[in-house]
Amino acid sequence: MKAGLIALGLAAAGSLTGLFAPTDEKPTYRGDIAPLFAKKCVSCHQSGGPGPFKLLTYEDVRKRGDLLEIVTLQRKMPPTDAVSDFGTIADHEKLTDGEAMVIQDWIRGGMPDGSGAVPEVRPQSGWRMGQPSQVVSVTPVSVPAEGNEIVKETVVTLNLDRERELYAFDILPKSPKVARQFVVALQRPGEYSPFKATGIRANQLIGAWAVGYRPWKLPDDAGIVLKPGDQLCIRMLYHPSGKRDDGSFDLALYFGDSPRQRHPRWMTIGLDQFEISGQEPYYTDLEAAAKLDADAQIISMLPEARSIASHAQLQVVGENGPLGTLLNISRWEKRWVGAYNFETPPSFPAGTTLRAEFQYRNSNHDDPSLTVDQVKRLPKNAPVHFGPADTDELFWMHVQVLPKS
Amino acid sequence: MILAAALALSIKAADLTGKAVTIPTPQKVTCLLFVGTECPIANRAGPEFNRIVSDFKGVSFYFVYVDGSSKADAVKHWNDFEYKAPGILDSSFSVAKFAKATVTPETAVFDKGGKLVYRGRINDAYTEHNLPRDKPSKNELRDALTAVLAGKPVAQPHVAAIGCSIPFPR
Repeated sequence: MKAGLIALGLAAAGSLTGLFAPTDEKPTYRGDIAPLFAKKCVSCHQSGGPGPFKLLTYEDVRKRGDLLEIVTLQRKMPPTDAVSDFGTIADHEKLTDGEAMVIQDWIRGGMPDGSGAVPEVRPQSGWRMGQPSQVVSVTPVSVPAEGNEIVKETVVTLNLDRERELYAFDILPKSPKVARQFVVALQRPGEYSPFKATGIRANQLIGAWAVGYRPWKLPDDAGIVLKPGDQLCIRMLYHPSGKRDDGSFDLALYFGDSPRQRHPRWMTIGLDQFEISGQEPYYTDLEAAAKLDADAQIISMLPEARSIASHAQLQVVGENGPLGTLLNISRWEKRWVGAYNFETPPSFPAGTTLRAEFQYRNSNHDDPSLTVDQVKRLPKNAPVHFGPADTDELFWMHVQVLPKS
Repeated sequence: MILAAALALSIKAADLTGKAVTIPTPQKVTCLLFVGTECPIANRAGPEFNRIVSDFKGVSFYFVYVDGSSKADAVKHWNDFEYKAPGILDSSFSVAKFAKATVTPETAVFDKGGKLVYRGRINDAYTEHNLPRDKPSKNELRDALTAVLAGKPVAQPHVAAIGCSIPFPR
């Protein structure tokens, strides 16, 4: 009872009207929307950012009210579909139900400005991890005006004077609105290649960058050894904008003191033999698992699938049962594939099982205008198998693990 | 004569070079392509817009900027996207209201008599935000232009467009 009284007292001090008539409290721009957008929208939606509309001021947001109502209700924005139970992976995670409701209420309430200070938004410019050890400029890269996804590949030679240990990298694209995902790999003969089926000409994956996600970064005592003459192979994914764009970018490399104590490695969980039926029920679930052979941290996850995948996740199972979801991409879209790097890598003991579960949808009744009868009359799709072609499928979850010692 | 004048609804505007235009163009099939300087869905439609302008000779096309952008931004965008028809800056949203457009990229087709015979999407490249098709399977704007040039009725006079809501003043 005493605790209840204290809580009431605090609520009354914070908002007198709210205490007596909580439903009359309408969200305002300054009170609710600006802080929410600062947290979930503006790192992309600012001048020179990857997002199309500035959402920095009341006027910016009010002007786009009709569109915001649609894309936040449908959860199309923020577009980062991936979440983890074990830490932050995206710059901005998806809106919660409560946040989406606040936006709807604000728009339907006439978009009042309200009173109070608007949180200051630090413009995103330069390198977010500070001064790099080396910057590699990759130019020219031309992105055509059309096409849903443009994939390009480039090889850069590092002019290192001695062996270095790479612990982080970052990317600054010249045209942030078209650059989507970059995968960086080390090209050195004789090592296992997790990317051979997708055609990347590299031998050891380093990490990935994607717009809207955390950069790839190892803990302070870890690194990847780079030798003089090593080459980096970079696979770039662009979304064309409707006009020809400059796909050039700067790659920042961060070298630490050598030698680093720990070195990460990639394990690949998946299958290279499977069939996805085109018959009812049109869904196929594929599952594969692997065990950690040592106490380890999970640094990064990189799923590989193509067009008919619909859901991708990585589960963690401990000795006493499920521990949670390391990565859940509830709506797999090849063109929105991210880079799933933990801001703070979680740790798991040896013997922990990582289980990849992908779902694929092999049906030809995607057209919402078709009736049930029309769908039933459609020819069945041919089965899809593992393979290197665009029309084949993949089921791979690459996981970067860093042993404890 | 009075009746004819009353039916011949039209609106005056100026193109980006300052030239006065009447919409719809008298005695011609007219097609308005509503665009914005920032709308990614409208921007991605640019190349197909230009192909349609090239493919349908004899149609009077206008790119109508309806996102409240400045004239300088509109001119730069029109040049960057190499639009193959004149641009109009619709700062007052009067052209959008005249054609009942609500999003970019939406299109409006008027027959030679100035009657609005089609309003809606170009094609089904987008049926929801963020997820374009690899290749559109329905091309309603091309179908509408083909029909109206042949003097036939447009099969589907309205197909909702997916894109960026036009920021009408509230």
